[in-house]
Amino acid sequence: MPVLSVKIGRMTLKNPVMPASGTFGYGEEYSKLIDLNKLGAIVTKCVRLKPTLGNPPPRLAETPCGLIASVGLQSIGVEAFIKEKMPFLRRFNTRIIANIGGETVEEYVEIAERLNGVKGLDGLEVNVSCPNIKRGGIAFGVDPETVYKVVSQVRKAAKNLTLIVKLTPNVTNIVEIAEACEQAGAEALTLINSPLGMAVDIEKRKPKLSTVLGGLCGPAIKPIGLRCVWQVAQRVRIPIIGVGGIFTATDALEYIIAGATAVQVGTANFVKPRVMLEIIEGIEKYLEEHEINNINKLIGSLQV
Amino acid sequence: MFLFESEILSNVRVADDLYLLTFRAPEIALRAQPGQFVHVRCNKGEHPFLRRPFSIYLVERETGMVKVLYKTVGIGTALLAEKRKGEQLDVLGPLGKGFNSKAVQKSALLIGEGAGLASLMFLAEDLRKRGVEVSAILGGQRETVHIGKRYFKALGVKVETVEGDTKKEEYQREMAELFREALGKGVDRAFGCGSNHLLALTAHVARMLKIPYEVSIYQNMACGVGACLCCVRKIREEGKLTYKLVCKDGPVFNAEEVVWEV
Repeated sequence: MPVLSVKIGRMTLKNPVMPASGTFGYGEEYSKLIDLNKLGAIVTKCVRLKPTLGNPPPRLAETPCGLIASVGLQSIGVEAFIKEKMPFLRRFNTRIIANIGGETVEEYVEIAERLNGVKGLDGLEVNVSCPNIKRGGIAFGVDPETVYKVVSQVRKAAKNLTLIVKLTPNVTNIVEIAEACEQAGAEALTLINSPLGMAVDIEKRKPKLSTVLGGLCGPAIKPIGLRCVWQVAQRVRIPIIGVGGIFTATDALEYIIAGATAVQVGTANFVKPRVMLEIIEGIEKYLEEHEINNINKLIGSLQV
Repeated sequence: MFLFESEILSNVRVADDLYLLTFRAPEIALRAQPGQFVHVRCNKGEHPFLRRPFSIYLVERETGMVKVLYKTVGIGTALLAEKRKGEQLDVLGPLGKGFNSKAVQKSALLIGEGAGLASLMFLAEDLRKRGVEVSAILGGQRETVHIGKRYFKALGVKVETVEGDTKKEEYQREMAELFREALGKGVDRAFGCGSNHLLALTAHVARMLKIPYEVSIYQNMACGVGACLCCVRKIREEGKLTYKLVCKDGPVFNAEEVVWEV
């Protein structure tokens, strides 16, 4: 049996597969359909400081080989997350990563301080890349100096947690943003959040989403995700979690070979609720067939 | 909530662009309640890949059969219409919160439009089994209305119909007027499923006459289980505006709580 275990910062994951934030809630719904203990980690829906309503409907439109969504970081708030969601999540034998988002640096810091030391929580994924909120979110992730400021402050505020930063592809040069995160103390990077997209209803002559623009997800974005992972992997030493359009083990393996240490599965969960287990099995089978005894030997093995 | 590959027993066109799909899903048939839905994968390919939600039209608990009445509106439903007897169907369900049929003691009024009929038949059957007096108003294209009338009558439901273009003002006025008259005769509770226009109009009437009215509403849906938060509708709860999930908090809501944006 090949070794599937990988390290993301201080966390050892039993395998490299986890859900992408915002596609899996807090695991409760999908726990009725799959065994959460089998996942490498669980990444939660974005946690904000205060309860937030999110964007008005419609929030979703299907597009060729994908969908655009604009949920707008609807959140139950950090206190409700600790009180209502963590007791459920800590029952599982897997790593728990809280995705966090805010409108100001102070807000990120306050959430991080509150979550530092919460029993059962292993990591933070700092969302500086949400395309769907008016203030904060992506605004932090498009400028190296701003991202450095957020990440270094969160680093100080949450010393006990593995610090991951999730980046947007909506920038000219993703490598310089990634390097700023590494210098600021990030222990890993998640690449990519959804690229901005749009769809039009020609009968009503209106945008299909209330916010006009939304994040494009699904198989349509896999080439962009792979490109970002590969570019960044050449330049940083910290591990990368690849995400964007992963529906099969083959997709996940592409990301791993391009340089990802782990992968996140998002939209595919909506279609195939058991897809992450299929991907774990598929990766294992691939390693066996190719006589690779440890997945770490495959990471970044792309021959150019 | 169950996820499995079920066998298609039949998939036939019954009227206009309306199809009746029957598949074997004993777990769903046994537990489904009127107003709940199933989330069906219409296509194994990459476009379109999202599941499509369909109200449960009828179930046969003894044989494990589940029926879905659907209208072909886009690529997903067109692909579903091509599926044949004996093929496998990837189904997730039963999902959502259904109608509160237990709240009805003596009499109920149902109002359905086009494929909206799909969520009311199961409810009518449930109510009739408990001896509730049920009347119905059906609107839409001629063939659709006609077949709905036949099915409802077989259950002992009194039916009135309005044939016409659902977008026309005349049609909408006639539907609302029939609804007002029927409510005026006094019923415990009303149930509706149809276009936003029809539901908004009838919600107003029910509120004026102070009759409890439950509606099954629609929104584009991704996960269907309450994880992605994409399918929200605006709801007024205890005087405060909020967003509720159609897949998990609904698809059935009290008409009074829904903020109608038409």
